[in-house]
Amino acid sequence: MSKTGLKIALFVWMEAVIFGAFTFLPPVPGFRVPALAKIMVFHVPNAMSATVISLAAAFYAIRFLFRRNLLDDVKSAAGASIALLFWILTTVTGMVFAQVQWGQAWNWDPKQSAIFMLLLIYLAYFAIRAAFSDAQKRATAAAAWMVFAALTIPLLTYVLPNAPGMMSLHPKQVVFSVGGMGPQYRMIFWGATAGFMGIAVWMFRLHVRIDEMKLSGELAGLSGGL
Amino acid sequence: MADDPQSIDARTWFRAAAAVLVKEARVEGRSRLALGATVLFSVCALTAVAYTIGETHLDASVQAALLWVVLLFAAMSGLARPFVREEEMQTADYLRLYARPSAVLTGKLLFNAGVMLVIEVVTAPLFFIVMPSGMVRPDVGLLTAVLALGGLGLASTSTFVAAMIAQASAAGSRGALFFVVAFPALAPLLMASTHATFAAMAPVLSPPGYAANSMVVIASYDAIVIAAGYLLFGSVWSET
Amino acid sequence: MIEWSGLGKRFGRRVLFAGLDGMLQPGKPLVVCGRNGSGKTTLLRILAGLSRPDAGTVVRTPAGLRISYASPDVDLYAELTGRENLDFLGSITGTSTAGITDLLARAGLTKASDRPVGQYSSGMRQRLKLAASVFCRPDVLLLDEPTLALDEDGISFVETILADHIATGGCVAIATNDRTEVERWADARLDLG
Repeated sequence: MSKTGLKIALFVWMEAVIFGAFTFLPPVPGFRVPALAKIMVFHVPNAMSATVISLAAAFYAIRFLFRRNLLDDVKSAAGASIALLFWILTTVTGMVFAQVQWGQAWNWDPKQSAIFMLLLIYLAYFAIRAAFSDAQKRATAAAAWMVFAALTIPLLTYVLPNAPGMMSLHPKQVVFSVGGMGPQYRMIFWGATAGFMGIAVWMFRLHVRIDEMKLSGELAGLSGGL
Repeated sequence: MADDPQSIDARTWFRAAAAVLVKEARVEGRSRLALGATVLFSVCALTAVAYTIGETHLDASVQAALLWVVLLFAAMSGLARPFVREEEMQTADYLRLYARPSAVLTGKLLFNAGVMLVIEVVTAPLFFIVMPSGMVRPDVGLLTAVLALGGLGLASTSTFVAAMIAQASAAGSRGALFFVVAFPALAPLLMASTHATFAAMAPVLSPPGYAANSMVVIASYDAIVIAAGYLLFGSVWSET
Repeated sequence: MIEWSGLGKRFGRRVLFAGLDGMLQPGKPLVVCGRNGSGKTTLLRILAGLSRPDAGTVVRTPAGLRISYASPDVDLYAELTGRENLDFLGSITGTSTAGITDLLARAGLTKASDRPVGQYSSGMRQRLKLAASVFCRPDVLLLDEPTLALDEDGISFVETILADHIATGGCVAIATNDRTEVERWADARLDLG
C-alpha cells in the first residue's frame, strides 16, 4: 500500500473509531453520567500512545549520550513534542471526566499531581533546549534531563500514588482485568489504541524527517567541500 | 609511596574531591556576601510567610508544607552557584582538564550539602519558633532525620540540575531556568518530605505507616538521584 | 603525540575550518597562526579535549596523555592566592606540591604568591597561568597567545618553559598572532588564514 493509501486508511479508521465511540458504545451504569464511560476509549489510548512515544524519546536520548550523533537528538526532541501533545490530550480528557464525574476538574489527587509534574518535566525539557545555542551542548543537556527525569518519574507516577495510605480517585484496573470491559468497549478501545498509536508514530516520523533535512542542510558545508 | 597504581588512583581521587570541596569553601568564603546572601534569603522567605500568616493558626500539615517551600526557595537561590560561577568566571576548563569528573561532582555535591545544612540549621528552628505552634508532642528524632535526608535530596538534585544548565547561553535567565528545571525533579521529594515532617510534628494526628512510607520514598529518591547524577554527570560536564 | 584528520568545526552557519590533518610530535613545536577569528583557539581546544569537533577525529597516544592548556579565555581562581591555585591544581592531579615555591620564583611571582590572583596585574596573571600549565608535568603543552601582556622578563620565562619542555620530550603547540614568535619556535607551521 502506498504512503497516501496508508494515510487515507488511517483517517478512515479513526473516523470509524470516533463514530463508533459515540454511537455504538452502550452507556455504562455506575458512572454519574452513564454515557461518560465512553471517554475511556480516548483517554487511555492517548495515555498509552504518549507512553510509547515517551519511551522512544528516552531511548534516543540515551543513544545520543553514547554516540553523540545529532540525528539521535533530533529523534529524541521530536518524540518529546509528540509525547507532550498526547500527554496534554490525556490530561484534558481526564479533566473532562473528573468534572462530570465528581464536579471538579482538578483535585490534586496523586494521579493528577503526577501527570501535572510530567507536563512540567516536558516543559522544562523545552526550556532547556531553548536556552542553549550550541547544538551539541543543547542536545547533551536535553538528553541528560530526559534520562534523569525518566529515572525519577516511575517513583512519581507509580510508587507514590499507589503507596499504602495514598488515596487516589483514579479508577483502577479497568483495562486489563477480566470482566473489566464489555465486548463492544473492548473492540472500540483497542481500535482506538491502534488508531492513536498510528497517528502518533506517523507524526513522529514526519517531524523527524523535517528536522533531519534541516540538520543535514547545516552539516553539508563541513565534509570536505567548501 | 604505595606502588599499587589502583591505590594511588583512589588516593588521588579522594584528594581531588576534598580539594574541590575546600576550594569551593574558600572561594565562597572570600567572596563578598555569597553564602550569607543565601542564608539571609531563607530568613526573608521565612519572614514573608510567618509575617503574613501572623496569628492565624494553621494545621501542622500546612505548616510542614510551608517549611519545605521556604527551604526550596532557599535552595533555588543559592545551590546553582558552584557550577554557574565556574562558567561565569571561566575557571571550569581547568577542572575539565585536570580532574576526574566524579571527583568534581563529589566535591561540589558535598559543598552544597553543607550549604543546605547551614540553611536548615538557621531556618528550621526559626520556623518553629515564629509560627504559632501546630506541633503535638513532636518526634524530634524523626524531624531531624527528615530534614537531613530531605535536605540531602534537595542538595543533590540542585547540584545535578545546576551542572546541566550551567553552560546555557542565555546567561541572564539561568536563574529562572534553574528553578524551572529543578522543580519538577524535586516534586516527589517535596511531597514525601512534607508528609514525613507532618508526621514528625504531630505523630498522633497522622495515619499509621505515614512516616515510615514517606521516609522510604525520601531515601529511595536520594539514592536514585545521586546514582543518576553520577551516571550522567560525565556526559554533561565535558564536551568530549 | 596527537594526530588529527578531517577536522572540521563551524559556529552556526559559519564554517571555521574543514578537512584539517596534522600531527603533534615530541620535540617538534607546532605554531598555529592566522587572523583573529580564524579558529586558532578552537583548534587548540579541540586538541586539548575541551571542545568537540563537528567532523574528523583526534587520536592521542598513549590514551592517558596529560595535556595542559593556557589561554586568555581560561582563568585561575581570582579569590585564591597564586600559591593556593597551584596547590589546588596539584591536589586534583596528584602532583607533589614540593616544587611550587621554585616555580613561582622562576615566574617572578614570589612576592605576589600569597596575594589573591584577583589583585594581580595582567602580566602577573599570564605568568601564573604559564606556571600552572607546566606545574603538573604535562606531556603536551598547548599555549594560546603565550606572550600576551608580557614584558621582556615574562617572555624569557616563556622561552625557558618551552625549552625545558621540549628538552624533556614533550609536545608543544602555540597559537599566536605574533609573527616573530613564529620564526623563533616553529618546527612546523599551520596557517589557518
